[in-house]
Amino acid sequence: MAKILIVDDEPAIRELFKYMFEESGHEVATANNGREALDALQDGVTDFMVLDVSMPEMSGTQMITELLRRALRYPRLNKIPFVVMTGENFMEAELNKVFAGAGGFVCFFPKMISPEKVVAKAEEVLRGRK
Amino acid sequence: MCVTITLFFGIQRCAWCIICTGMKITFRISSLVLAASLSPVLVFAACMSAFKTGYPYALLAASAAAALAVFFTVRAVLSGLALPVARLSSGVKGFIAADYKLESVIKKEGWPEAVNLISCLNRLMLELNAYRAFHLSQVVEDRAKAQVLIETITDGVLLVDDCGQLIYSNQKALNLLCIPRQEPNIALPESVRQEAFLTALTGIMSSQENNLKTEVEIKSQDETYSIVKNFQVIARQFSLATFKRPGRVIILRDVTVEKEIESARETLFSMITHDMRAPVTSIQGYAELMKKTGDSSPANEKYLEVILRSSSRLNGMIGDILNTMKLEHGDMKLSPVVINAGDLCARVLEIHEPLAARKRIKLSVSSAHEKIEFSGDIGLLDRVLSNLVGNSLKFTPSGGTVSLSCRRDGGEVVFSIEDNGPGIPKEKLTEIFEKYAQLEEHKFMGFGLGLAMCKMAVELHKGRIWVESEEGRGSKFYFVVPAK
Repeated sequence: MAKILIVDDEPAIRELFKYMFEESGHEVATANNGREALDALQDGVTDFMVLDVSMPEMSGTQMITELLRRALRYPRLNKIPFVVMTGENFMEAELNKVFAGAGGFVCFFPKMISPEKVVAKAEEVLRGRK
Repeated sequence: MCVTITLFFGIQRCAWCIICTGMKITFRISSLVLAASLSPVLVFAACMSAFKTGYPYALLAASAAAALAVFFTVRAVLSGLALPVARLSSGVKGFIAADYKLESVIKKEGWPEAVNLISCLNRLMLELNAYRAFHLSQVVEDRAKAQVLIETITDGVLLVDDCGQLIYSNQKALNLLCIPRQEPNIALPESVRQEAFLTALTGIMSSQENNLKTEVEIKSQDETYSIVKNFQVIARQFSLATFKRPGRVIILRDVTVEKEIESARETLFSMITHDMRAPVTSIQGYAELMKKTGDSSPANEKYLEVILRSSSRLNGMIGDILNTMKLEHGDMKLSPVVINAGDLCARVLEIHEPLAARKRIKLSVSSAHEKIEFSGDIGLLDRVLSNLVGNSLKFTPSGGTVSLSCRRDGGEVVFSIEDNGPGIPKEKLTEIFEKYAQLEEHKFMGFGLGLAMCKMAVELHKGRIWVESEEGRGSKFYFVVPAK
């Protein structure tokens, strides 16, 4: 069992991922945007994160930039593995610049991918870490 | 596509799950029923053999066992299957009734098969819910982007269907046409409250042309000034305005400033040309006089020739500008005489021969053997032909050919000027006859008035002018005037 953080501004998508991860026996927390996600990461233990890119208030890219800044003081933040969900018209080169620099970055998933694939990826990464 | 496939596999997975579950449930119920029906028989047999009780007691015990078996079977089926299924169906019905918006997932309970089924359907509902939300947010976002763009541009833009029904527009367009936004069922041109636009749009909407352009002048009066604004109305047809219907895009562009600049340019042009005419005429006149007296050396003779040619070209250009102004303002009066088409061609050829020779272009004229006579303004038609030949000579590279021809075709005289120059792009074929319209690569090569003047002059003769061209192969300009 692992602690998963789902970050997406769309409640329906959050609920879907929450249900799928819980079905696989994980504990799930959710966040509405990058800022809430940062708070959740700072306060609790998170083993894996599913991150959306375009969100109001603080986007996924802004959040990771901020996370890298905070990681200078709390190195554990930069070790949390995460996958990034991207919309249809994302610019891979632009996003790569930000995400590839983060220690925990695993891969991109196009939206809407089947959530099972994300769960499978998360479990594969978590098995590898143990 | 990706989403559809995912959804399809989701549904397929779910269907398979339902079939498996159905089989498992059938097996479970049959084993329960078998156990329930066997239990009274076993109890009866046990009572008779083990306890040696009498026949009636054994029967009583068996019936009690049967009652208990039925009770427990029913209870098991109810709690393990019937209740979860009832919850499941009411949950799914609620989901459908709420337009696939999921309030809460169905509680997992009952037999493992029921739990499995509920979990499957929960996932399916959650996926549908998420896809719906995702697509909705994408549509909203795309729409917002388009809206921002269309509201930011300064032109009024409207999209209407083939019946004139408004599909989409920006606020600017509605303001210009004086249509209140809240008005339902806006249709062009009926809903337009602005008179000048109403007239223009009525014309546009009733036309079947693909590309239309008209100008509209709007006068408005405030306390101190009367303001005149000029608008260009551009209409383009599209085979698909929405996914279902054809329609057209209409653009309302404020060209007041352009108009002002144009009018300033015209004033300047006409001032300069008027003032230039007198000196050029005297240069030309005295040069002719000097040539006539014939007492200059051969070298001077050559210089005089050049002065004469140049001043007559300059005179022609000045004439073109003044003609254009007059034609445009409707001040041009034709002075018709009987013209011999062959002679006209020959004269224009003669004037242009020196230029053609210098560029090593083969300039030729071919006219019918019969004598073609028609009535027209010789000065103006001379300029038309000169302009067309001059243009061909200007754009055809050295070594090329320019040929001039005239023939009678029914009640019309047809002139054509063909060259093997660079040609004209298809989309520019009508545009080049507009004033100041010049091909991008020919900017700074003249005023861009020549062809506009030709068009107006030919049309004043109740004729037509057009061009056929293939890029890289050359152009063929035609103009026809009535033979009588």
